[in-house]
Amino acid sequence: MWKRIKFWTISSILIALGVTALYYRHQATRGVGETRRILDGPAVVQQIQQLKQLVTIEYVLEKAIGLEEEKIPFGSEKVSLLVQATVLGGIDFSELEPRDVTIGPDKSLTIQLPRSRILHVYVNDKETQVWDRSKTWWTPWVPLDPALEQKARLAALEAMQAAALEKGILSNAQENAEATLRQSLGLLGFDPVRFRRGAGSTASKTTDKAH
Amino acid sequence: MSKKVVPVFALALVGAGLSLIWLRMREAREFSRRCEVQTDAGTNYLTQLVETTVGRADNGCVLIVYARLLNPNPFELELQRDAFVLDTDDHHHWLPSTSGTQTKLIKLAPGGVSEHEAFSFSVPEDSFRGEINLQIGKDYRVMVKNNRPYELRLRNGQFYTFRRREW
Repeated sequence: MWKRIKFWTISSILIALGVTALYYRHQATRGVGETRRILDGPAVVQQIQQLKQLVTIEYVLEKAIGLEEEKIPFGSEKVSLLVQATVLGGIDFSELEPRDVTIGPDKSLTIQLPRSRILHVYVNDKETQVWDRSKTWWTPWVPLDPALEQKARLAALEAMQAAALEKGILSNAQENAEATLRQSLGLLGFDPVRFRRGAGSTASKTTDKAH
Repeated sequence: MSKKVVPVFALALVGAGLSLIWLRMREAREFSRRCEVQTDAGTNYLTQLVETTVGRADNGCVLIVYARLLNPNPFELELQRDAFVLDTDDHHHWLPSTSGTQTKLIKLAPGGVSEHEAFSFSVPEDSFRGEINLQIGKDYRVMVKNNRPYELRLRNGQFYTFRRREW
C-alpha cells in the first residue's frame, strides 16, 4: 500500500512538473516561431525625413544598467550592462514660424527661438559592455530571452536622457544655439540680434495636465 | 501516521504549486488581453500589452510600457505616439518620450504588426502608489498596474520587468 502511494505521489509530481515545463516551453517559444528572420535580406529604407535641426550640445554619459525580467510562471533573468550613450541637444527649426522673427528698421533682429530639446540619444556600441547575464538556477527550463539586452539598452537610453536633463542639457543647448545664431546673423549684417524666450526650455518630455 | 502524512503533504504541495502556476498564467493572460481601439478618425486597430519595465533614473523613475500593435486594415496606419498617454492615480497625464528610437509617428503596414512597440515615460516615484493606466486616444484605457502600492526597491540604474498588473 505504502509503495503504491509513494509511486503515485512521485509520478504525479513528475507529471505535473513535466506538463508545466512543456507548457511553458511552448508559450515561450510560440512568439519566436511566428517570426521568420531573414538574414540576407536587402537593406530597406524605412523612413526618409527632412530635418531642420541645429545640434548645439553633446553629452557623453556612462552608466551601469541592470535589467531583471520576471518570467511566467516563475523565475527571472538578469542582464547588467555598462552603457555609454551620447545625448544631443539643440533646436528644431521646423517649429520656427515667420511671426517668430522680427526685423527692425535699424537692421536689428529679434527671434523667438523654439524651445531647446533633446534631439537624439544613442548608445555607443564600442564602449558598451555586458557585465553579467544570468537566470534563476531553479528554473532551468526557462529559455534565455534574446531581446533582453536590447531591452536593457532601451532602458539605458531612457535613463541617460533623464540624466542629461538633470545635468542641464536643455539650458546649455539654448545658450549655445543663441550664441551660434548671434554670430552667424551678425556676419550677415544684423546687429543687434536679440532672442525672446517664450515659456523657457522644457525640463522634461513629459507634461502634466489636470484632468 | 507518517505514511499517510507524507503523500497528503506532497499532493497538497503539488496542488498549491499548480494553483500558483495557474494564477500567474491567468494574471499574465489578463494583462496582455487584446483591446480593440479606434483612432480619432475612426480606424480600428488592436493593442495588446506585452510587459512593463520600471526603473530608477537620476531624477526620478522611468516606466516603459511595451505593447503589440496590430493593424487589421488593408491600408497603412499611422499612429501618433502622443496618443498613448500614461494616466496615474494622482490625476496626471504623462506623454511618452519621442526622442531616440521612439519616433513621433508609428507606422503599421496593411495587416502589419509591431511586436514590441515601446512607450517610455519619465515619472516621479510616487506615481506607483496607485493604479496606472495607458490611455489610448480619448476613449480607451488599458490597465498597466493595479491599485496596490508599489515600493520601488531598486537602485539607480536598475530596472525590473513585469508581465502582470500586480507589482
